[in-house]
Order: sequence, then structure tokens, then C-alpha cells
Amino acid sequence: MRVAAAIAALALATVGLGPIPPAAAIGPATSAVTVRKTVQRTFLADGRTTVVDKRNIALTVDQTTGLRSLQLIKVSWSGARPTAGITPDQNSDLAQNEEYPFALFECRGIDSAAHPLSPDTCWTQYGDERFSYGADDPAYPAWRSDAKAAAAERGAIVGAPARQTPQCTSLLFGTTYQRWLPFVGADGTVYPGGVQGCAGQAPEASPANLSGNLSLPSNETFGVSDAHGTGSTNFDVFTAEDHASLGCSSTVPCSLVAVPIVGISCDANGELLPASSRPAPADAPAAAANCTGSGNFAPGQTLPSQAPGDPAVSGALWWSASNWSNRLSVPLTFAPADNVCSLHGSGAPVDVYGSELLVQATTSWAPYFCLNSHLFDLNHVQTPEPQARSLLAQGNVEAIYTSQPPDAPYPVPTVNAPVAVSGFGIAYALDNADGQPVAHLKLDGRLLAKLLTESYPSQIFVRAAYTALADNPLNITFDPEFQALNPGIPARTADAAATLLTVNSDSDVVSALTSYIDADPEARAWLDGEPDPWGMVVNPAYKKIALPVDNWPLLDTFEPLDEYQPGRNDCLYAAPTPYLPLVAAPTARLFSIGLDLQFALAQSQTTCVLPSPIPGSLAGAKLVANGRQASGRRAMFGTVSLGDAAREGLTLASLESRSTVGRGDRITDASGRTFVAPDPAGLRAAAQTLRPDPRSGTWPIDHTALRTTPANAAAYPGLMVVYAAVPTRGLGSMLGAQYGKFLSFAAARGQQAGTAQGDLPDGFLPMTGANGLGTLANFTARAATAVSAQQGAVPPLVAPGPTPSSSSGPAPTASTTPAAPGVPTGATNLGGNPQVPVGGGNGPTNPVPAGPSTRGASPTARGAASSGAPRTIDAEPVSARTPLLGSTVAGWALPLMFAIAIAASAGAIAIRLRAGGSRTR
Amino acid sequence: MTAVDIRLTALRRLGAASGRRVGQRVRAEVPVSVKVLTWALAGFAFVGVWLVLFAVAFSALPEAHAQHDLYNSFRAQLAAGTAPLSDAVPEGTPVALITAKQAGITGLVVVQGTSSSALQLGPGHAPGGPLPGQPGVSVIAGRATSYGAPFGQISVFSKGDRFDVTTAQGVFHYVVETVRRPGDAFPPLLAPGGTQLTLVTAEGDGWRSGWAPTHAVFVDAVLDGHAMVGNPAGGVATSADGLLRGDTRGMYPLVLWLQLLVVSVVGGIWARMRWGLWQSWLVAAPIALAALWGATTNAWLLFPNLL
Repeated sequence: MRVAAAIAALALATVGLGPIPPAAAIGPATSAVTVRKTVQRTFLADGRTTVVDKRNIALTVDQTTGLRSLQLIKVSWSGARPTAGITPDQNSDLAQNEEYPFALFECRGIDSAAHPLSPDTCWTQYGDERFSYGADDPAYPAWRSDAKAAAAERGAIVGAPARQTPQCTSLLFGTTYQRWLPFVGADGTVYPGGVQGCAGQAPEASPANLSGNLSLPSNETFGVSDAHGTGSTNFDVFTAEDHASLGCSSTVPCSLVAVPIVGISCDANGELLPASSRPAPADAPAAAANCTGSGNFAPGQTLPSQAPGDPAVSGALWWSASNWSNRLSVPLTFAPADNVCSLHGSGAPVDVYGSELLVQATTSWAPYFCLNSHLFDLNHVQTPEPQARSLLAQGNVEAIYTSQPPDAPYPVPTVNAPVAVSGFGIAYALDNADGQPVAHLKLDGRLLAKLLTESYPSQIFVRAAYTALADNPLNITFDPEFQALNPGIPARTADAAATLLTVNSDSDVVSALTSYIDADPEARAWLDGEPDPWGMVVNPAYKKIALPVDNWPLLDTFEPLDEYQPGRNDCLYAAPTPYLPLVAAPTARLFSIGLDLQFALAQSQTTCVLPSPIPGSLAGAKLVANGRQASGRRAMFGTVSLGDAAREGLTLASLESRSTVGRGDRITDASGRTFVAPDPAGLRAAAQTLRPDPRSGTWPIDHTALRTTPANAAAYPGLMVVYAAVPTRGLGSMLGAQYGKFLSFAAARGQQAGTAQGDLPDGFLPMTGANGLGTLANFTARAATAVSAQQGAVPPLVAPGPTPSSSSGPAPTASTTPAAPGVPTGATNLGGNPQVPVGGGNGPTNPVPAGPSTRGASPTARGAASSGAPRTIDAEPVSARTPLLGSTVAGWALPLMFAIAIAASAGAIAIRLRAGGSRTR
Repeated sequence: MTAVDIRLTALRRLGAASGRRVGQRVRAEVPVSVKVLTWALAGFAFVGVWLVLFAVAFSALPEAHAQHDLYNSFRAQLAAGTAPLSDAVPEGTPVALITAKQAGITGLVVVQGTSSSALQLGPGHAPGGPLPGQPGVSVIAGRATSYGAPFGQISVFSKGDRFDVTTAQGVFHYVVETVRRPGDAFPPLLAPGGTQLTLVTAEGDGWRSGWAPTHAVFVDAVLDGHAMVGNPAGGVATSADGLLRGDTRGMYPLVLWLQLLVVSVVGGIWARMRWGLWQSWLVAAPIALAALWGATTNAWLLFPNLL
């Protein structure tokens, strides 16, 4: 019975940082490393050494080279001692209290015999992971009896900084032993740490336990080994970009250090110490008791709150000589930092605005350009695609990345040259009944529509009060349709499971996603008001919504006022807000949605925090995101780009491409429906469906055709093509040549898959003939010529003459259409003189906040002259004077206080003297 | 004997008759009324001194603490690329980092909003305008005297001085154009697409300088370099965001804190009457001090935000 419970608990707890990427991840395989070591624990007593535990550890890391910041690497091990006293979050402050954890750290430097690594350069997030102290008497914590530690490290106070801060002095008052482990930053700064970091911590460190907080979790991991001694987890690699103090980079190698905790090797009697330093005979039993323990909990058992594991075998003493000497280290090397170009910085960057889909590709391409002295700085400025198109149409920017043609043609001849093929994905963080990550998930358009339209009431109090949603399941995990497609996933109440996290700005991704939903007859009928076979109906606010849209609107206005009461939700009581839009809580960027999924940070803004210490006071009350979901009980969904998903190690759902099941049938399984994963095969099949559209000059994705043509059933519907839209007239010869070079690169070298600089990273389908995308690459190569020439030519989408059978590199054909007659060559340089229209009249889509007329809109008391009316620039009187903006209160507050203080003191003294005088009279 | 003396003597007798046990020796000391009066005046003096000290010294502590936390979170946001790109963020959210060596500003985090409560955290970005580095005029306001006086020295700027502002879009170098006081001409008009940053604080003249500012002073600076793409301003200025305005949101908590202060002081006196001196002090003083701190913090919201 007890064993069964232990195994169940273990299963719950072996869930690591995040799900493991599916086997079908796009891209080449990378280097894995396995290291082995025999570790042991010994007791020394009466001059005899006894081996009490001995383990043969094997550690495997799936990728060790070309790493990038925030990349997840998969770490697995075997032969470790089963972990006991397990905590739910292996990255939290509490995880160090586990017994026999498999501790993982990122340390600066490489282990060698000549220069062994020191715990000083290993990152830990919390002050108490590098500090041990207490007020016991006799003061013999386990580390003082460590047989492997030098005599100097076994004193009562070890490593204390020479000068104590007052805070440390007061916090450490009365302690009998202290062990300080400083952290040495990349710049050489020594952070002594101390209790609550009182003597100084690295700026990245947290003073207290932050589990459940919204910040990204730390990467030190107290991994859990199962009953067989094996385990695995995902380890988040930090580089100098995200962690300056640790400072790992392409030039500063680091190591992944695993410390398999088997317990402190004891020398309780101090037999290895000089006689004068040994514990008194009366103290030896206490020292032995502290050091020789083998744990308070059974393997697999959960750590009760307020009961840390036995320090002699817990992760808290990971730095002790016994544990540290058992370490296994794996050297890690890093790709050039994403910001290498800004550090390198030569000349004015060549900017391309737009699509977030392309971020991972341009991050890889940029160093190839900026580190080559014959090329230039290529800079991708991320903006929403619709905004980028309007900037390009207005001539404010020279080139953009976009996935759609503009609504009205660009005013100057412009090529839409495909530079990458990628798409959107639906990422999820979801655990099955065993608490293990769900490896495969199937979603159809109707389920996505249900998530997006705020039709899941999310909470019982919403459903009880909201009659329109009274019969709807609480969230997707309760939905019979979801359960039929994905058996074995338990229903869990969580706000984040009632919504699909998406971006709150205009985006081509939202447009593609809603086109996919719109093309699904089931989803469309349901959106139009037809209940699904189980009776779930659409939220009336979204009924008959016209799709596709660029920006997903938050339309629900229902406020369950019964819940908006003091003590239930004080924030919503103080400021009632519609509930379901708070659940939806879209965020600004696709990449951050990926991070949220990576760490299961639920974004629904329904948690109320009351910073005011006064009970009942609503001062400063604010709604915050729900925060990190407990490992093993995660349930959330989000829209991500395939490139980000590959970098962030996210698991992606398969989307329905075709269904032969009747719309009203109550399905019990996925039969009759085809689901396609965003793997190379699915993307390749989708790429086959692209047809050139001469009118828009692009290869549009026809979601209706994808749905209705049986041959397209294997095509992943989230495919998107990213185009570089570059004018072929008016850029000037220099800029034109630079953009032309970039397009030539994107047509050939940039489509080479890999992890090196200039390669196309995972998450993109290379535009090659083998993938059926030779036509696209060929057009980009021809577009490069037209952009370089700047003669106003736009080449045809398909080359005249025989279509190239495979992409044979750039080889731009020399035959470009001649410039239109009468067009002056080398016209205005748009780059040097951005044509910002004067005054208003740019319509609501103008992304630049009306440059000239914002001048007076600030609270600088320019007076009524500035109140919004469009002004012509020349008419503005320059002789205006700064008016007096004064405050008598500010001028007299402190003088008056001072005067009152003086007067009152004088008065008090006078009265006192006078009273005394009258008494003695 | 004057009339006052007669009255005091009568009061003393009354006090002796009502407040002391029969047979207790009446010490030759000041009468109760005088004691009450002097203690009340001492209380006034203490409150006056406290407020002055709070303004020029103690309030710098919570500001330094807030800046430390804001810097840590903003630094990580900058690294992760999640820092705000427009001012459509809640009040008090870090939006930029400002460094101006001449004005003694090293790495101050600028938060969203210029209300008195936002400016207790550090300099604030005026809602409704572009962020620094984006086309248009951005305004950053800071306190001149209290809460660490982050902008206490910005009027030492002169034309041509340079300072840096970091936002999610990069580091922007600004060149000071003018230091404007009431009556000074505005700087030349901003070219279309140009970018200007105006720093605002308050200052006083003569004996007031440094602690009793009477009017606002503006430092206009133009961007040296390329402006970034602007985002539509999302912030909405409330009346509390106006320059040299107070923030009435402090009123409600202020009343509650004052109640606690009164209760703790009265309780302390009550305890003193039937308990030892030191015991009463030990129990009542920390509560009174905490209540005083809370009350002062909230009272300070009512004062003009640039003070």
C-alpha cells in the first residue's frame, strides 16, 4: 500500500520544467553528451572508513553546442539514489530541501584537473541556497563534519565577509555557526550573499521564495530520481543576454554541473582535523547525529510543508565538499548572442520592420550579415504586420516582413519576396491523469473557436449567474468534444484552460488563425448560433462574428456581481470589470506567449492582490495574472510561432484538416477526422497547395480549399509564408543594393537548415525544390535583382520559360522588366526624409502618434492653443512663452512645518519656564 | 498674583483633588494644565520636525527601495525584450531608464504615470505621450525635494549637455536644448517625425531653493540619432497626473492611519497611567511610529507631486 502511494507521488513529481518536444520537431539533430561517474558516501570512525552508499551515475545532455539563451536542453540520468521528500516545483526555493535530489546547476567555466570548478561560479536564485547558519549548541551542522572538506572549511564561521552590513549583523545575532558561499559574477564582483542576501546578492537573485510568482523560474533544478534511480528534466540555459552576472556567452564557456546528492561523508569525531579543532568528546554524538542521517522520508514521498529534509542528505548542502566532489560536469558552448550585432555595431543598420514569425530566422541571419565586413547590419524591427504595411505604404520605412499583401496596393512598385515559410502553432502545457505532460493533442476549429469566444464560463460562479452560458462546460477540459478527441486528460478547473492565449495587437497570425476557424464548417455553424452536439452555445457577444480579423476583440461584458464582493474578490468589488476578458488576458508578443507556455505561467488576470497591510483596505488593490501552474496539474493553451516553439521547446497540437463526421454527431473518438502536426511533412504538404496569385503578387493560403480538397488532408493548416516587401523604386542605389543582397541571401544561403550563423533554424520549412518551394525561392532571387536595380520593375511570380525543377541557388536572371517610361531614376530617398504627413487626417491606422501635433498634448501647460486641433507647422508662433506653473502649497509646505516646529518648541519652553518661575515665586 | 496665576492655582488644586489618592505627597511640580499644554506644543513641534525630516531625509528610503526593485525587474524585462513599447501599461510600471551624470542621475527607473503616488517610486512618464525614442514629445516628471529628490538637480543642465534614456527599443542619446523657466521662450519647433524629451520638476528661488519649490521648471532635450517606430499612446492622464497636483487617493488610507495613530498614542498614555514608563514606551512607540509613517506616506500624496 505504502509503496503504491510512493510510486504515485513520484509519478506526480517527476514532471520537469516543461514538456518534451515531440519527436517530429523540425530541424537537424544535435550533439548529445553522456558522462559517467561512480560516487560514494563514506563514514570515518576510529580511523576506519566505511562505504555506506555507492552509485554508478550516467548523465546525458541532449544538446551541448550552439546553445542560445532561454533554450531548454533535456537532461536525463540513471543510477542515482531515489529522491525522497519531493516538492512540486523543482526550481523553487523549497526544492533544495528534497532528500537525495539530482541537483543541476549552470556554472561559469569548464572543469579540468588543473582548474576545477568551484561552487562560487554556479548560479542559484535564492540566498539560502548558498548560506547555512543556525544557533544550535553544540554547533555541529553536517558540513562541519564533512570528511572531504579542508580543515579551514570546517570551522564554526566559514567565509564570512570582512565587513558585515548592519542588516547581516542584526539578522545573524546569536548564531553559533555560519557558512558563507559567495557568488562570483562574470565581471569579478563577489556577492557574499548571507541570510536573505543581506551582504549583497547578484541583481538577478531573489531574496525570498518566488514560486508562484510571474517572473521566469530560475534554472537551478533539484531533479527527482524515481525508484529505479533514473530521472529527466528540461534545463533552461541562461546566457549573458538574460543573465549578466552568470555571463555565459559564445566567448565565455560554461558547464552544466550535476551534483547527485548521496549524503555527506562523515568524520564526526574530527579525526582528520588537528587535535585543537576537534569537537569536544561531549559534542561528538551530536555531530554524528547531524551528519550520519539517511533521511526523514521514504523515496517518492512528498515533502510536508514546514518539514525540510535531513540536511545531511538534502540538496541544501549541494556546495559541501562531499557533494561537490561527486559532481559530473558537461561543458556547454553557446551561439553568438542575439545582440552581437548591436555590440559589434558598424555603420547605420539596414532596417526591416514587421513580422514576429520571422524572429528566430532573423536572429540567426543578423550575425551572418553584421560580422561580415563586406555586408552590413541587418536589423529586424518587430512590429505587427498590419502596422508595418501601413508604415511601408506611407513611406515611413524602407522594407517590411509581412505575411499578407496590403489592402490597397503600395503606392510605389513593391515586390513581395518570400523569405521564409513557417506558420503558427497552438502550444499547450497540459498534464494527464498521471501528472505527465501530454505528448499529443488534437484540436479542431470549433474547439479553438470555443476558447477564443469566451464561451467557457471558466468558474462556477460565472456559469451560475450567466444564463447564456448556463449549459456550457466550465473549460475545455470539461468539454465532451475535447475529451472525445483526447481521451485520458482529466478535467481541471483553471482560468487558463478556458481560453487561448493570443496577442492583443493586430497580427497576421490572428488573421491566419481566424481564417482557419472560419473555413471549418463546424466552427462556422457553431459561431453562427447552432449549439454543438452536446448543447454548448457560443457566447452571445460573439454570435455571428465576421472572420477573419486582424485583432481578436474582447467582447464579453458580463460581470458576476455576486462574486464581486469584499472577501471574495476585493479588486473586482472595488472596480467591477467584465470577468471573461480578464480570463482571456491576451499579451503583447508571441515570444512571451511561448515563455508563458514554457513555464506554465497562467496569464488570466483574475488574482487579486491587496498590498495595503490594513485589513479591508482596498488601497492599491490590483488584479494580477494567476501565475505559475503547479507541475503535474498544468492546463493552458496559447498561439505561438513555429520558430519560437522550436527554440522554446514547446509541444504543439495537431490541428484538424478534414472531417467526414456529420456536424450533429456526438463523437466519442477522433475517427473520421484528420489531424496534422506542424512537422516537416505537414508543412511540406501544405506548401504543395500554394498557388501564385498575380493580382496580389503573393502565394496566398486558401483555407477553404485546404478544407474541401481531399488531397489536402495531410496539409498543416497553420502554414504561413513570410514575405519581404521592398519597393523597387525610390530607395536609392545604396539601399537598393543592400536589400538586393539580402534577398539574394534569403533565396539561397538563408534557406540552409542548421544552427550556425546564417542558417535557417528549426521551425521553418526551407524554400527548396525538395520541399516544393523552388518557385518561391526563384522569385525571391529575381526580386533581388529588381530591388538592386531600383528601376520600378516587379518581376512575374513565375519565371517566364521553363520553371526551375529545383532551387538551384540564387542565380538571378538578368532579364528584368525595363523601368516604366518617364520615371526618373534615383528618385527621392525615402530613407533620409521620412514623409510623415503633417497634422491629422491619417486615419485611425496611423501608427505614428501624429508626430507634429503631439507636441502640446503633454501636460506641460501649453494651454488651450494645443488642444488637439491640427495646426500647420509654419503657422505656429515660436514666440510663445512658458507660462508660470506655480504652487503655493509646494512653496510653503515645508517652511510652514518648520515654522510651526520652531514656534511650538519656543512656546513649550516659554510656558514651562514661566510655570516653573511662578512656582518658585 | 495675576489672574492667570489664580486660575492655574485653582486648576492645580482641582487636579490634586481629583487625580491623586488621599495622603499622597503632592510633589512640587508644574501644574497638569501646563504639562498638557507643553506636551501638546511638543507634539506640534515633533510633527513639524518629523514632516520636514520625512521630506528631506526619510522618504528617500522607500524611493531607494522601490528603485532597487524596479531596476531589477526592468533590467530583466529589457533583456527578455518584454519591456513596454508604449505607455499603455498600468501606473507604476517601469518604462525607461534614465542616466544623466551632470544632474547626478545614475540609472533611475522611470515609471508610468506622474501622479503623486507614481512619483513616490521615482521619475514618472506623463501618460498619453510617446515613450522616449519615439516620435513626438515625451514628458518625464520627477520630484525636486522629497522621495530622494530624483530631479532635484536637473536645472543645472545647460545647452549641449547629453544624457541617455534606455527603453525596450534601445538606448537613446538626448542633447539638452533649453532649461525653461516661466517666461522663457519655447524651443524651436520639432520637425515632423522629430523626437523631444522634456524633463519637469519644481524649483524655488532664494532661501527656498532646495526645499520649498514654488514653480515648475522644464528641461527640453532633442534626440541625437534615429527615432524608433512609435506606438499609439495608450495611457490616459487623470487629474492626479497634472503637474504640481496632489493625489486625493491618499485621503482614505490617511484617515485610517491617523485613527491608528490616535489609538496608539491614547493607548500609550492609558498604559502609562497604570503601567511602567518603559513598558508603555516599548509597546506603544513602535505602533505609533508605524502609524505615523503610514499616515505621513499617504498625507504626502496630497501634496503637489513635484515636491
